[in-house]
Amino acid sequence: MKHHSRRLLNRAVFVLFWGLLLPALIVHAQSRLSDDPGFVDLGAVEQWFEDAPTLEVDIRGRLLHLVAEASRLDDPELSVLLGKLKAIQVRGYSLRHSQFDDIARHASAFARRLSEDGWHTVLHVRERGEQTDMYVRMNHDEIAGMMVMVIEPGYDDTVFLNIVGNIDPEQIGRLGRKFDLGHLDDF
Amino acid sequence: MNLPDPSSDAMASAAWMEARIEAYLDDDLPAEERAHFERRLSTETWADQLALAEQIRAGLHRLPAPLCPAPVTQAAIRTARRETWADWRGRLTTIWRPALAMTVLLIMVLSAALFGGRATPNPPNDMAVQRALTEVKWTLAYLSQVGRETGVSVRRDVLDPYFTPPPSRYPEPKKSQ
Amino acid sequence: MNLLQYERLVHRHQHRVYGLCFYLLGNREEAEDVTQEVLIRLWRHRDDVDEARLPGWILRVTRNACIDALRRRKAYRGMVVSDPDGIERAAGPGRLPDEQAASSLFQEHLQQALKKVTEPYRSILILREIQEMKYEEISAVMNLPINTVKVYLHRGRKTLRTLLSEVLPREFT
Repeated sequence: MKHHSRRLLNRAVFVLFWGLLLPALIVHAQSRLSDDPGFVDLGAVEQWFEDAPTLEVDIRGRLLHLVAEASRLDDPELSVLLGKLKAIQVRGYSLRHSQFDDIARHASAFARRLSEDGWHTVLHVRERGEQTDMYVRMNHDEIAGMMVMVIEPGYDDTVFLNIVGNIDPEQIGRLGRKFDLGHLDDF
Repeated sequence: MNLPDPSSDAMASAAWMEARIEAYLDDDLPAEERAHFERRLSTETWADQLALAEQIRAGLHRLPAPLCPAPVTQAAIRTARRETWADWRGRLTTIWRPALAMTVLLIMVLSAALFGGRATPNPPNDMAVQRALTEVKWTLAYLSQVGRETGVSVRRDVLDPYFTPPPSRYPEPKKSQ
Repeated sequence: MNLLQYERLVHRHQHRVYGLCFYLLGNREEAEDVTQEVLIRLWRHRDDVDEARLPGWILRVTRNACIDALRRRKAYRGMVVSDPDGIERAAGPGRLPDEQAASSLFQEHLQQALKKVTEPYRSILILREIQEMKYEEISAVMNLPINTVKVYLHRGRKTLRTLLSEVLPREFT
């Protein structure tokens, strides 16, 4: 009986252990953002600049979920949009006029690599002293990510932005128009 | 200023005159030197040099003092505001964030272990969440502005007919629960 | 210094800082970049600067930043020799805002001559003749005795006369 009890106990511990650990492992495996097709590693961009970013936004995983929950009452449409996203990354940099050509070249090379990786060019604007690129990554029939690069001299006018997740671009445009960029610019 | 001795033959020299042109215009010459200077002006080509010196002063005074463009100062003030906010946030972070992180972690571990699902989110008035919400709104506003400035709207019905997805290098993403 | 005081100081000194940058660097874009740098540096050093000495400090920092920018420009030109025409075009000075004032031939020659005056005479000419600063103020900016400022000012004016005598036809002098 003693031996039998011990075996039962061992089995119970085994089941309890894996019952606790396995969900955590599954959650961990699901949150490997870097494997997501819509994800862009903005660490490569940081190497182009001598100075640290002047603007930094990094919202993913649990925090993104909490933000979606927080906006549910005031803005249900925003909450629904955020519920489908996995990450929002933004980096803003200071750029002198004399650095423009150099950074624009880096950005163009970066854009070529995105194209090679399956990103689709939505926008490609070159004007005197300003360069804007926008890319989307498709996964079957859904958008898996969006990447925007704006190169413009100024304190924080050079911006790299990556949104990962099932994006509805029209919804983003609609929602974005509601929010006053000028007011939020002081955050 | 070390001007040549007026009582010597140096008075006759070009160097003496050259050294006194600006002082004459500034009305800085002693009476005797001023008188000698003016005598030489009437007889020699120094009058041309004096006229040029006067013209240069007038020309420099006419050069405009350009005004600093408003975006330059606005950007500097924005930086100061941003750094002030970051400073405050940093102080709060050292106190509150470790406690918040521990709480969230404990909830996550217990929820994953017991229920395998999402933990109950923190209350909406949590400072970090509010901050992140502001950042999300800013990001959407920024994207919308880029679209408006470039006249671009990304529409699925525009993308789909023209886009043939290349073979993906990435594994199929697992559907999130 | 709090944020409100900082904003007040920025508004007070912005035009002088920009004006000095504009004439030392010769183009609007670089002047804007350096002005922004200087104003941000004021914020980051706000606790180190005595407000009574601020006017001299900020223009001193401005002048030093402009000299650094000019050195970088020379270093860049030294590195990229395969496209001299492109560099010359890119580094070309923009026209002043008040084009009527600069329209006369004399004014154009005067501006070109001013660019050729070496430091520290050029800074002193700009501060005295264009920004109409007092000798005491210039002395604080340049960290020079007042008499030295006067001597350097005279030398700067003399240099302008020499340069302009060489290029102007007699009827303009």
